[in-house]
Amino acid sequence: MIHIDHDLCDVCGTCVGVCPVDCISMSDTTLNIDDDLCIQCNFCIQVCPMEALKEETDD
Amino acid sequence: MIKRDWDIIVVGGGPAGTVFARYAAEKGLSVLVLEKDREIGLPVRCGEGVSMRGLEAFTPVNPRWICRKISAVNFYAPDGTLVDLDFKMEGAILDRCVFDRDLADLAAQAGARIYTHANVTDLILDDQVVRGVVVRYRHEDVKLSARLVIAADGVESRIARKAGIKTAVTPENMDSCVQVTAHGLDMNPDALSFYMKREYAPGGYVWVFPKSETSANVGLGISGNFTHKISPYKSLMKFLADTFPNASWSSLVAGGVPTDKTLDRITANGLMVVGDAARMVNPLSGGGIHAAMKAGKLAADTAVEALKQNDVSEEFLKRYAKAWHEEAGKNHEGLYRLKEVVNKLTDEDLDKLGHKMVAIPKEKRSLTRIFKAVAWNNPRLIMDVARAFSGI
Ligand SMILES: Cc1cc2nc3c(=O)[nH]c(=O)nc-3n(C[C@H](O)[C@H](O)[C@H](O)COP(=O)(O)OP(=O)(O)OC[C@H]3O[C@@H](n4cnc5c(N)ncnc54)[C@H](O)[C@@H]3O)c2cc1C
Ligand code: SF4
Ligand code: SF4
Repeated sequence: MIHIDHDLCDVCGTCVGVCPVDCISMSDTTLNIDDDLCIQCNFCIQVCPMEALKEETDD
Repeated sequence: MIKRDWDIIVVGGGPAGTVFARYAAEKGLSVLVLEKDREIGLPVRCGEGVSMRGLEAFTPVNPRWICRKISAVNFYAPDGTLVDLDFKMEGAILDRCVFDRDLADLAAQAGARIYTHANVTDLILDDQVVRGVVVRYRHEDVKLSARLVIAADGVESRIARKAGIKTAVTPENMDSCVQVTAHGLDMNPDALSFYMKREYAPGGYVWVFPKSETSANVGLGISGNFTHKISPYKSLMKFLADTFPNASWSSLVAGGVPTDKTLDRITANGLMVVGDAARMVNPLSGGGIHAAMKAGKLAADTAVEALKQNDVSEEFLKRYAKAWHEEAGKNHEGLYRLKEVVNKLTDEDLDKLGHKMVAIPKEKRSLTRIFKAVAWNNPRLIMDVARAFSGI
């Protein structure tokens, strides 16, 4: 699962532009990831300029 | 309430969308622009650098859009060597908030309607033809119909995906950017400054674009290939601490620049894709304002014809793709190849390049001469550059 730190996220859309399965959606103020569709490629984490995304392992 | 039926619905109120809307509305078509953000023009996720010639091609330039005229370019090699070049064209730093809003104003004056806080969440498709959009507006999902939809939704580019066009770029072709508008700077206020040090911006560069004598947009972009080594935010903070230790800033924004080739497909039945959404940014420089406006204009030309002839098939709309490739496509591909070469240069290569460049008298410094001079000592580079230029 990808965890969004909403305090750091600038809602800039960079992660949306690389998501191969289009599971990240945005409004003008917030970002949302559909965990059911996510394939855990981590591209979004890779391109986020603000370090707002992290991989979350379920324990 | 928003009217339900339109000739054309434009998704996104950036330069691509509003330039499109102005040209189409001027021809008497009913045009609706939907913008998800609260206001057009903000936040400014942009260095705001343009060439005057690029702007003038689309609209008489209103002086209030221009923060500052630019007459020189300064490249700083990694070891600090300064290479200054006279700008062959006249350059400008825009006030994009005012600029984007005035483009919207021009579209509105031509008869287009614009709504903000209007987030388009889906396309309405009927037998593989785009017939309209679903927009989230004041807690409601509203269905609107249109004869033609324009995807001008910027870096995210989700709208075209809903019509089956693959728009996602790979991380290596996404520049991950952070920028501040910094104040109290000691800099050359008449020049665009570029810092090429890989320590700060691998696969990209740091820019300092002056907005006044003492303030500037200071930002950097790092290719997604390198962000595991270095975070854009932390890297910009380091650059500021090293270069402008006393700077303060009045804004801090993140943003993405797709530096990929333009999409193979920029049309579908009932849909055209323009600007950043179609990946039309100059892949080497990252500049996309000019391309977005050009695409808006070219798409509007085709839209007017398509609606006149009542044919919005992909086959017909491909006229727009053809026009884009004729006017800009080839150059774009050449720049993409050049980007790939430049990204491979190491700090040592860039230092050498810098030393060679300063050895050439200023009035004779041109890119061709510079590449010739460097290539002399660097056979690997000459091969790569030759390859890069072969398509231009
Ligand atoms: C940090 C940075 C620096 C840059 N510096 C420069 C520069 O110096 N010079 C230059 O020429 N270019 C620069 N660029 C690139 C330039 O900003 C873009 O190329 C340009 O804005 C593209 O215009 P556009 O209309 O295609 O997209 P945008 O200007 O991004 O507009 C797209 C609009 O669509 C809206 N939208 C998205 N999805 C939806 C939806 N579902 N529903 C409704 N609305 C939606 C967005 O909110 C946005 O307002 C820079 C970019 C960045 C990130
Ligand atoms: S890239 Fe980072 S800052 Fe930008 S929208 Fe995605 S999570 Fe937020
Ligand atoms: S990990 Fe990959 S699939 Fe999942 S949200 Fe990020 S980019 Fe999309």
